[in-house]
Amino acid sequence: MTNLPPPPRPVTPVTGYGAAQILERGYRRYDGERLGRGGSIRSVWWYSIQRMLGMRRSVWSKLLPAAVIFFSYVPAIVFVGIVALAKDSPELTSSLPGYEDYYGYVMLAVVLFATFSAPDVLCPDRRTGMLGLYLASPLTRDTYLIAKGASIMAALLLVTAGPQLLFLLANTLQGHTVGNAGDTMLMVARIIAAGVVVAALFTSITMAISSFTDRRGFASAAILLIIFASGTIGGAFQDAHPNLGLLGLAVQLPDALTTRTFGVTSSGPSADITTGLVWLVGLGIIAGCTLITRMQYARMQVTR
Amino acid sequence: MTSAATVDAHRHDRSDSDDQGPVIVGHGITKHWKSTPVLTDADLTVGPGITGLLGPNGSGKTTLIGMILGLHRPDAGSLRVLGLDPTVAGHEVRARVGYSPEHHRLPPDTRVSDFVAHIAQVHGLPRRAAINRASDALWHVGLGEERFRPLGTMSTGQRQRAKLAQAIVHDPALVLLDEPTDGLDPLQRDDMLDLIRRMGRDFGMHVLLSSHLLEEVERVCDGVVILRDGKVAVSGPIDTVRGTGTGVIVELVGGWVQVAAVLRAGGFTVSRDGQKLVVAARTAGSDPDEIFDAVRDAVASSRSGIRLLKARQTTLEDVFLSEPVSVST
Repeated sequence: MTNLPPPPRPVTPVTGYGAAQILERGYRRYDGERLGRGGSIRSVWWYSIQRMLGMRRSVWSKLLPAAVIFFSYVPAIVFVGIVALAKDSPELTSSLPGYEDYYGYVMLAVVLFATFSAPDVLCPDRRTGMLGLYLASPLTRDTYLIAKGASIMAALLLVTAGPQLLFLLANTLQGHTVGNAGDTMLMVARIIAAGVVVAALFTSITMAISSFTDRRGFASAAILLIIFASGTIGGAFQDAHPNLGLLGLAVQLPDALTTRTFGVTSSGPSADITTGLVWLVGLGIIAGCTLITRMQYARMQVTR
Repeated sequence: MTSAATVDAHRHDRSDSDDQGPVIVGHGITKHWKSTPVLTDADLTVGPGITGLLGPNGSGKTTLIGMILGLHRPDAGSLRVLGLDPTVAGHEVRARVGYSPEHHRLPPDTRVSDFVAHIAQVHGLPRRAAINRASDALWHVGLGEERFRPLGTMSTGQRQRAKLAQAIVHDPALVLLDEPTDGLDPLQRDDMLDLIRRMGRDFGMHVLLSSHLLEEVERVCDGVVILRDGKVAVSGPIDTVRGTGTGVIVELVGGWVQVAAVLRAGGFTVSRDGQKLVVAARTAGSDPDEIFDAVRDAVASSRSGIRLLKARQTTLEDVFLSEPVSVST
């Protein structure tokens, strides 16, 4: 009797979970779309906004921005509530502050937001070497600063223009309008313009200060110190010499700029200063601070 | 900005990188930081393939990388990277180059997948492609399982890999690696060098590997540029730079004094290296077999024994330690 070979194993169909295989795909080339410098700028812009708002970060990183944004909307929510509850009391609704006065209620929140925003998006890039990686991409130092500045401004608009827009929207829906549709659109434009002006002012100042250190804490402390010290010193001079209007402007520049954007002359210490001079000082500070930031970044060594 | 032009431009990228010509060509590059000269009249040719950029600390390696990226402008001379002038078309060069810096400081609270995907987007990739390629790149460098970990929790070796992943995620034609094995233990260093070799051989990228470690450049590179005192001491294919054997190494079982005396009498230069004799040719370019024959005869006449006899290979260390030599390309 001869030994027969073992019978062949039955061939099972390769289907279902048994068909699963792990394949080494190897390195794949990318021949798809590239978005160029615009894509690079947009990417840094959106990534920085996410960082400022604490998105994709720990809970503690979300707390401060969420709290500041919430507090900037509280007055608007309260005013909207008053309008809703006191519709039949025109005296009460007419005593509510105007849109141009809203900054008086939220300026502290705006300053706080600006205090941590710029240091949060600029300082870690230098401390962690990300700046070198950014500048090894299609970005240049200028386009990098544009992306960062635009992101700070966009985030600041949440607190400089957002609450008033909410206030206006809610008032309009409740019939407490500013006039006809044209007047409403004009008010929207003024709210946005004022928000942009205040955001640009704080963005330029905080970026300039942040460009001197790679430590977030130092930058935030320096921003608070400079903003409050300039206000205190300016206020002291103003009290001592009421005619020194320009020094009063140092205290109330954001207020002076916003009220003039709404076409109203400020009632504060800067009331006597011409609108042209207010704009000159405001734009001068924005331009000067932007120049300082640019000079600081121009001389940074980034490939180490 | 999603124009067909940008897609076409990238397709041009690949055809450039497939070209087997030099990737970087520099002539007479001079650079000073204030009054301190960093590079002086440097001529160099890099690529194709993997090229080592060697030099001691402060020899101008990082400055040269900065100039390749278009971040510094040479005071004099010309530089072409992937056929482009980085002083004029810096952003175009950087779009096609990946860069891994020397430092290990990376955003500690950012997940490595987010970090790599963000760098891909900064190099112009759309969001979805960036996320997919970031995942692929992290698997290639061996961080696939760790991709959701924050960078701050990673070891030095893992950060080096993360830096490598962000350098290749956008499929660059040229990758600049600044001290990629710094801070790694020997096993990690071997893995990293294998990875770099794969980048050059399998991924089809040109690589410029900046290092001060001669041995790792010898292991993975096809070419080498050696900087010394701000000048290019040597530039060219690594085999050409090392040259062929320049003598013979012989290890004897006793009698080395007599053998050395016989060889010296025959006009050869003999030096002792531990237990070995190094015998150099009488004249440059002479027949190597002549030395072997002379050693054989000398050993036979002195009745000594040979334990080892081999041609002496010039190492990069020999080249590095020698006086500046002419540039070979």
